[in-house]
Formats: sequence, C-alpha cells, structure tokens
Amino acid sequence: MKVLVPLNSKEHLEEYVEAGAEELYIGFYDEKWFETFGPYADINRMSGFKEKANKYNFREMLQVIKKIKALGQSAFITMNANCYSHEQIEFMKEHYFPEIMEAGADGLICSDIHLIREASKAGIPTVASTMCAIYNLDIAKYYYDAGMRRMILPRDLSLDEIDSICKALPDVEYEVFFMRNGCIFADCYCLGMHRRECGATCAFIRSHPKETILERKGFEEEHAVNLNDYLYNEIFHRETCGMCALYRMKEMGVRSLKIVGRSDQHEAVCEDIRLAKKNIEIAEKASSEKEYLDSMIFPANKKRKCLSGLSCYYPEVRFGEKH
Amino acid sequence: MFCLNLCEILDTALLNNNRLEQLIEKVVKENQIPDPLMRIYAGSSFCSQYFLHLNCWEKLFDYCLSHDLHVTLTLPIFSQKDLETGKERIKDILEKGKEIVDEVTVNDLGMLQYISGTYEKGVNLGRLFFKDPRDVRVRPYQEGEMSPNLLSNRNFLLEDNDWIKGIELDPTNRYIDLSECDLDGIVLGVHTPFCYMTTGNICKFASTHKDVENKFRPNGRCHLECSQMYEHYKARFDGRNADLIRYGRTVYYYNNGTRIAGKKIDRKMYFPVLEVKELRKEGV
Repeated sequence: MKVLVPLNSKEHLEEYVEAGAEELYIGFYDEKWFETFGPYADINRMSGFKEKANKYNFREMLQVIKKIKALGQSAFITMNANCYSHEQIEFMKEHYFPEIMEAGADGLICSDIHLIREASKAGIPTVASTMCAIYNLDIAKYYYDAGMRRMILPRDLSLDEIDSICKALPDVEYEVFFMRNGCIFADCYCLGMHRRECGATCAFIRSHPKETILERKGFEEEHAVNLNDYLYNEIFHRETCGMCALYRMKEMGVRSLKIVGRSDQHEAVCEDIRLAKKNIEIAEKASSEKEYLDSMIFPANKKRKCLSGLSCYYPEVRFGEKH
Repeated sequence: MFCLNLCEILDTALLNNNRLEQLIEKVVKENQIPDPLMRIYAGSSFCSQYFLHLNCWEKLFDYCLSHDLHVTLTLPIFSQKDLETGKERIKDILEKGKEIVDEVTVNDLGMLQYISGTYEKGVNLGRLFFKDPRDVRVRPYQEGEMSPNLLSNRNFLLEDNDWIKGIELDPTNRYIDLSECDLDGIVLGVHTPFCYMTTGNICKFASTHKDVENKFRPNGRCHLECSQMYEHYKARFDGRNADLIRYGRTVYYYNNGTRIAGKKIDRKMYFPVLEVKELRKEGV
C-alpha cells in the first residue's frame, strides 16, 4: 500500500518522501484561466482559496512534477472542479495537455466526464476524483467502461461497501480517504462555494447561529437535539483518521491511503505519513485483524481523537455496525 | 406546467387526503399560480434512506388516479449497501404505479444506465447532474448570469443517451442563460422556490437519539427524524439577507427570482416544505 499526500510547497517535498510518501498530488492556479473565464471558474476544488491552496502557477507546478518524478515518486494533478464548460475543456486541451504529457505526470485527477474523455484521447491517464461520487458498483462500472483504472472512493463509504466495489472490479487501483480533514457533506454534491470571501459551506453551517424548529417539545427532546448539534458542530470529523481500518484495507487490495489537507502544517502531515508507514508494516506482518488492532500505533492525540468514534473515517472497526 | 415536488416530504404531505388538498390549495393561492396542477414528483433527490422508508405509494397513486395527475418517480443515489434493495423497491413502485408513473428522474450515471436499460419510461436528469457552483453568500456570482456547464459540453450526455426526456435545473443564479444550449425536444423543469446548495450521506437529524458511538454514520438507519425538525439559518451577506434551510440531509437557499433566457420553461416544480410544516402546525 502506498501513502498519497497533497503537496503545497516544494520545500517540503524531500521531507514528505523521506517520511514515506510515494505518491503526491498537486494543483495549480492560472491567471490566464481566470482572465478568460472569470473569477468564479474553478480549475480544481480549491481554486477559490487562490494561492493559499494552490501555491504554484502552471509552469511552476510542472517543475514540481518533474522534481517528484526525479525522486522516483508518482505525481498527480488535480483538475477536479465539479464541472467545466466546453470552452474551458478546449482551453485545457490547448494550454495544459501538451505540457502535462511532457512533464510525465502519472495522472490527472478529474471528475468531469467530458474532460476524462478528452484527456484519455490525448493519452493522459486519468484518475476518477472523489467528485465522481462512486458510491456503488453501477457508478464504478460507468467510469470503468470509460477506461478509468484508478478511482478515489468517497470518504463516506463503509469498509464493506469499499470491499464490494474492490472485489467486483479488481483490476482498478483504489484510493481511499485515510487521514486528516473529514467532511460533513458529500464532496461531490457540496456545490456551495469554497472561497476566501465566504469560506467553506460546512464551516458556515457549523458556526452560524440558527433556529431549530422542532415538532416534539419538552426538555428531553430539546436536550437530545442540542447535544447532537454540539457533537456534530464541535467534534465530529474535525480531524479524521482511518488508522484502525488499515488491516482491512490491505486485505481488500486498496492501493493508496489518501492523506488530505493541502493547507495543513507540513510537520503534522509528515507525522501522519510516518505513522501510516509504520502501521502498514504492522498490518503486513499481522496474521489477523485482531493482531493488527492489538499492535497498531495510535495517533499522538489518541485521547481526543479516538473518543467515541466521532473522528473515525471508518468507525465500524472499533465501534461496530450498529445504527 | 405547474408541478408539485413532494420529494423528501411525501409522507408528511400525504398524511391524509385532506392535507394534500389543502396543501395544493395553499400553494396555488399564496403563489398566485394560474395553472392547474398536472404532475407530482415523488421519492427523493437526496436521501436513499428516506426513499427506502416510504410506504405511502398506493395512497399517492390512488389520489393521482382520481385527480388525473401523473407522477415522476425521483431516485436518490443509493450507496452500495442499499443498491439492490433500492432496485427492488423501484420495481415494486413502478409495478404498483404503472398507470400513473410515466417517467423517472435519476441522479447518477449508474442509475441512468440501469433505468434506461430496464424500464420503458421517460428518464430525466435530476438536479444532482447539474454541478455548477451556487452560493447565496457570494452576491456578485449569485446575482450574475450563468449557463450550466453540463449543457455546454456539446450535450454529450444527451447525445449518448438520446432517450433522455427532460432535465431538472435548480435556480442557482439570478439569470440562467440557455440560449447556447441545444435542448430541442428536451423537457426543461426548474425547481422553485429553493435552490439546493449542499447535501451528503450523513444525516445530522437521524442521529439525534442515537448513542454517541453510532452518531453520524453515512446512510445510517433513521426514523424519518427529518419530518420532525429542520433548521433555519438567517444571515446577512454583502448587505442583503440570505435564508437557508436544512431539511433532512440537504441545505437549500431561497431563490424565487431566477430568470431563464433562451429556452421556454416547460415545468416549474414547487417544493412546499414550509407550507407542509405550517399545515402540520395547524393540525391539518
């Protein structure tokens, strides 16, 4: 299993690789794109945060890709905005495709089926972004039939569901969400903007005052609602971890463990990479899930993170399947 | 054409025929709708658990049969664990409603292939196919003009799937320009008065009474808590008021003023979520 991380600063590349990252993904910004299509046309999911999330312009990013390749690692480029217009895809074909090919990127992470087709025609390998919403086998087969052999599964699938998809299409390389930021909505259907001037939609929803209209009244009901609201807003998926699921992922044949957090502190990302690598080693030596779970190393902030499963990507491992 | 979108609220709206009658009357009167009701959208665009819970289909079909109404069956995205159960339920509903349900709205590529390959029904592309950004908080964007990206991509989905009957748009911006889009023969439906902004598989409300370890599981079982509560966010952005509601898993904003250019709107689908709540409060 490989560890996949976002790269937001080339200064940290060697450090990430030394920690154990073997696959890296990176986005870019392009003033010409924004001049052509306006300020609200995203190149990738984080374009609204400008250089904070995509530090490099296209040419600088290509240099970083070449550097990643020179270090012997895999490099992926994010072009996974929700959707693009025909003109935008023509722009990409003319301005980006030839140099992406030349830089030797291992894949374009994308979700727009039209872009997928055009990139494939140009000979650029494509990766089905989490924005493709591969929630079931029928959807996975659609992208499979479109020629995709690497897919990022949504972060809100259970391990059993991931297993079913992996088993049915075994010649696909799967990436699964593994560490850092969770999401209270679905990446692929959260269409509110993620921009500097408004922040992410979920951040607004979690922090803004609201009126809750209840049909059932009384202290017990109101208490249950308020406690639920507090846990949801303040604790649930604030920092998310899938470390306990690693053994099952290995058994399923998952290819890559995705650490997210393009704008996070690089020291913290490095710590996650190192921990994931150590636990991969433990999982590979373990003869059963129980053995792995008994011997795995927990994150440093275990006391808070492991409380009640609210920071688990896959809570079913430790807390069962009860609903 | 005036249509009622009872997706996500069918159980509440159909508690009794009297409530549905009064609901229709209320919507028509308060919105000064001149056209008669022709069609009901039922099922769910956003929540597979809600869809799987629904058991009032016969009641709906009886009502529609006696009032000469057609039904559009609206399907959510089923997560892998629920996919087969979802397909069985679809079969059952289409069998029971074979005289009433003349079309199906799908919201994902897998279901598009499945329905068109299995049933001889008109198929619509639902609101989750149209993934253009929308955000009431960003005034210059929201008050501007947009053209749905999917429809500019040489309509490849419509070209590849020529059985597609209609599309459903959300009122994302003040102006939606469809003049460059080739929509000949496609039925254009627009949702009103709310635009969906975000949704997901985790239902906050469904977790209200669960133990902490079992809260916020994606597609976790529920008891239709969404019919018992909702949230209203009232905020000022950039000098104007913005109203958002969270109903079930989905957050919507109020936008009743969208103008569409370049194509005649064939259907307006009104989502009477607040009217249903008012009637319920009044004891109807």
